[in-house]
Amino acid sequence: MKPNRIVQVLPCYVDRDAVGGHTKEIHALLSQHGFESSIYAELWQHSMPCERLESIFDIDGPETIIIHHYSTGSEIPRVLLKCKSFKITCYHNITPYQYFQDPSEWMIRSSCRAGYLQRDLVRMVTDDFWSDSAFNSLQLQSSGFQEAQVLPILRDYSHLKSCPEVEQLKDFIRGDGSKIMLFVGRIAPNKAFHDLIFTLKLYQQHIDGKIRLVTVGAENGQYAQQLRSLCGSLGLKVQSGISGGHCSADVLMLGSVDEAQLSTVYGSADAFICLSDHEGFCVPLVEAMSFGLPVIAHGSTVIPETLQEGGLLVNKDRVEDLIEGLEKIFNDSSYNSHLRQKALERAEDFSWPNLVKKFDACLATSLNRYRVWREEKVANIRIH
Amino acid sequence: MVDFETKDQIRRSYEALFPLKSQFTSANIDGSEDFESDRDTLSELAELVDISKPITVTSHRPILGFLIVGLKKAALRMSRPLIKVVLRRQIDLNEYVFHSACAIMTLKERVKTLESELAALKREKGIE
Repeated sequence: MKPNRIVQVLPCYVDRDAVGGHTKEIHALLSQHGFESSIYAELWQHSMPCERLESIFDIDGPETIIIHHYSTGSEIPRVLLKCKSFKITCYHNITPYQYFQDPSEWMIRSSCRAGYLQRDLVRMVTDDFWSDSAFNSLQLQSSGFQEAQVLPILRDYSHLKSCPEVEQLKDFIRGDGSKIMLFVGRIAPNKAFHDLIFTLKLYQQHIDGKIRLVTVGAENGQYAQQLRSLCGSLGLKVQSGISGGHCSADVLMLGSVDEAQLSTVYGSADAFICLSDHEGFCVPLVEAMSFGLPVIAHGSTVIPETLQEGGLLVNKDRVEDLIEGLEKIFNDSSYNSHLRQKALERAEDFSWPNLVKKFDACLATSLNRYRVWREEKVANIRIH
Repeated sequence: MVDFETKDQIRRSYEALFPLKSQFTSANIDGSEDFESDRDTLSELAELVDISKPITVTSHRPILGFLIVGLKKAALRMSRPLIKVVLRRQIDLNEYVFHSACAIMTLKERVKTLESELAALKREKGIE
């Protein structure tokens, strides 16, 4: 017994977002496997092919599988309660709402809080369970979910690597020849950009002044302003966006960039540093490893699992060890090469062929479970 | 290689940054929120939106009081045209803030409704 179609549903479908990209890749793979596939969302970017959430009822039935991407609170669980299809929940983790204290971030705070409150409801509409990581799976197992099949975020990292470098941007970032430590991620409190700035200051003060922090990621809310005032208080020069010439700032906040620019930034950096307090998967970590960048990261939430042996794990509260790790990356060439090699080896686990294999395995298991579920349904109909 | 002494200095410099760091320390992640008093707060806020309402001028002095009250009233009347423009801008801001607070309240109410729906569903399905 095979389903007629496998569709996906998510709260917000936008391009260049980890969950959005994951959904797009699953859609493409399902189509390749010969399944009728479509995407439904509450909100979506105009350019993304998508249908309204409510139209899911048009295709609902036991011959359909619905994959629900659960990453925030939404109407979806309530809609799924009324659906008769086989439902797979794909959990991407929810950022704890308490990180969003600023009044301008009330909307994201409310969505995250609603996401937590909906856990039990989501469990009720879950016939099978996928997750980005074992960490995420364990988190929901404590709320009574079954153990998930782990399917990392699907992304062809080689595509980013093959983008042509933007020479002008490379010259701009490298500037006066300072060492570059890079972080990529939305400017949000859970990503702890403030700790990156403290680390930069301490490194400049005690080891070497010729180091620059470069960040890539969209800004919203008051947090970015707070970071700028923090830099002012610490006597660090900040520059936002890309301009001509050479950058001379201590902190360069590039904002959102396109794929070619992102590729150039990875290619120009000397190290990738991640001090986030909360991450659900951390795509930039894998991107950095695929570029063979030495990675140093604070071992919070999912980071130890995504990084594994691919970089140096530290506890950022032991700031002296963090600085020592950075110093070793910048000044010990054999250690630097060792970390680059380890990063490339770990990135291989997330290579496109390997990710496709993992997806195929998850799908095969879910199809088996669907078969059992469908047979039980048919048997129940006969009994009644 | 970072020697022991430098590490010690780094630690001390880091500790000196704690006052700056404290503004970024995340709120209690397991903390709960009080929704009950929100409506009262909103009603109080509604009363405060229009700051151009006339204020009562008083004085606690027994004899000079009449004179002081008269002077205060005259000063207020004279300055009113000047501060009216500023007051208008402040009222506009207050209204904006009030409406935003109402929107947040509506959203919180919706979350509460969801919670009660969830509790009902749990009971129905026999989930603890």
